[in-house]
Amino acid sequence: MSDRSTTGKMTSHRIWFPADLPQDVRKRAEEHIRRMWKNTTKECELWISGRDRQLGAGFGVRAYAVAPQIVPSLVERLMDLAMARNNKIHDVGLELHGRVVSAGERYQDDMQTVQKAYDEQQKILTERVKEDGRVSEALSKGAKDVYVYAQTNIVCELRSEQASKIVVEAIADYLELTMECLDLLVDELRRRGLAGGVVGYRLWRDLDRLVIDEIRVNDEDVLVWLLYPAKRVAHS
Amino acid sequence: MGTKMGSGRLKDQFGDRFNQGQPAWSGEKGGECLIGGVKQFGEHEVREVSAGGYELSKGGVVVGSFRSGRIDPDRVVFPLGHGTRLEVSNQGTREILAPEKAMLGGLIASDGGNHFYCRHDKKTGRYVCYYTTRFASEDRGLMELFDSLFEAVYDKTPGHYGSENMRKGYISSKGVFYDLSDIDIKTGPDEFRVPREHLDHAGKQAYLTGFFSGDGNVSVCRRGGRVGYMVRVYSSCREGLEGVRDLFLDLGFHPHEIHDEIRVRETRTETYFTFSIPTEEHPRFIHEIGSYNSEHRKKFEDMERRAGRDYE
Repeated sequence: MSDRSTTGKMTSHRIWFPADLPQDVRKRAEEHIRRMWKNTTKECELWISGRDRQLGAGFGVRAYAVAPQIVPSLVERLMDLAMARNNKIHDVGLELHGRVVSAGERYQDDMQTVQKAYDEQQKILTERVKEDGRVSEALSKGAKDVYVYAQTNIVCELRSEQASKIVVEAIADYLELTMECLDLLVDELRRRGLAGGVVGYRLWRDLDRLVIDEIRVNDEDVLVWLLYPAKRVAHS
Repeated sequence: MGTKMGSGRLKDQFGDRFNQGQPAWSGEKGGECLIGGVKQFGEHEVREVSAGGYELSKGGVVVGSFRSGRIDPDRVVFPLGHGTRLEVSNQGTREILAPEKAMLGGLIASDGGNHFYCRHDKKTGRYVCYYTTRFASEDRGLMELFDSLFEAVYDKTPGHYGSENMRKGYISSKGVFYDLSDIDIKTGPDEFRVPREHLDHAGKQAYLTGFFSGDGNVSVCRRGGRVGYMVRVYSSCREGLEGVRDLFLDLGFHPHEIHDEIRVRETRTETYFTFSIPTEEHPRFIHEIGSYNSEHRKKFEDMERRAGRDYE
């Protein structure tokens, strides 16, 4: 196990890495909870990050629990779910909070609102990429349409009897693919009795930061991929 | 080097790939002969000896003798054991990884581990240390590949355990641990360094194949009847990913810049790093790098089928 950060109010540990076995996760969660859960701990956040290799989409599942005894079985069941479909799991972690952080995790838009926000985003981005020299040149040479694929994060809040709250996130190049990944996870959470109904969704975006990753010019159209630039890191 | 898109068992394809056009280390020479039995590389000289094999000398002093070697136009390569080779060229000498070991390194960097831990034994009062090199995957083909590579490099068969949806292959060997640690294959649970200085062209290709098999991603973008693919490499280790991107640059690819894949959380934002391979280089990527991951292979087959039709 490794500490990511430790403060007086919060401890964060990664309890599983790609070279570990799925069954390791329960034992480590038990050990971590036993050692680190204090009287001041108000809530445990557990997260699983992965990638759906069939769809090529990233995902994250987070669950919040106020009772320490349910954490090991919850993380084990979520791990089992996340590993379905030959998914790649990046990591699994636990974070103990000195406050109830799940109250701040509110994703309660309906799908119509999300779709509207996405359409608006696509319009803004399409106009912006048309200003790029390569795109405008292709349009002047006869390309008719510009299609934008931008990193699309959809976060979904779910009710749960097992946990205080479950939040699922999917990340892909466009809304349909993102929703396909998200729906698969949500359906599976509900089928396994881990989650109840969907409370709502939210399209997360930071349009000003998106930059062009790739431009493909065809005879008829121009396809543009946008991603978030990497923050510079100091190398030791 | 041929494509890895052929049919047949992965293990056989692995054998085909590494034996293709490569002389065996049996004293058989490569495509070239030493003219007059001697070849000069700067201050190093490689001489064929009458009893068989080669002598390497520097400044007139013999510094090594080898039973076999491979003569290339611009270098001579001698086997050193455990998948390591000595390359002698005008740039001097360096230890390089055989493609099998380079690919094993790529696999371990993506989905493996190489570590030890020591505990104090109260009965004996001594410290007992355990060394493990391991790889875990949900993909049976990748586990087969890990076994084949390990056997080829270390002549050891990994043990296995795990569940139906994920198997783990492991070797408990201090020697293997230190051999891989020496080149920083895996410097932390999800930190790695690319041993670029120990990779020749074939080694770079092999390392990338191993790494992409674990941490590569192929996604499909559909728009009406048209289909586009994105080939990306992901990692949470920024520095390691920069090393991977450098290998692509060394091989003449033009990978895009590294970007963030941001994950949203109330308490903080989590980031993975990624870069993509330009579309025009996808065919070359499939043939020269490729992947042993079954999901990637299915998509590559789709990409090749669509090539010349609606695949941009």
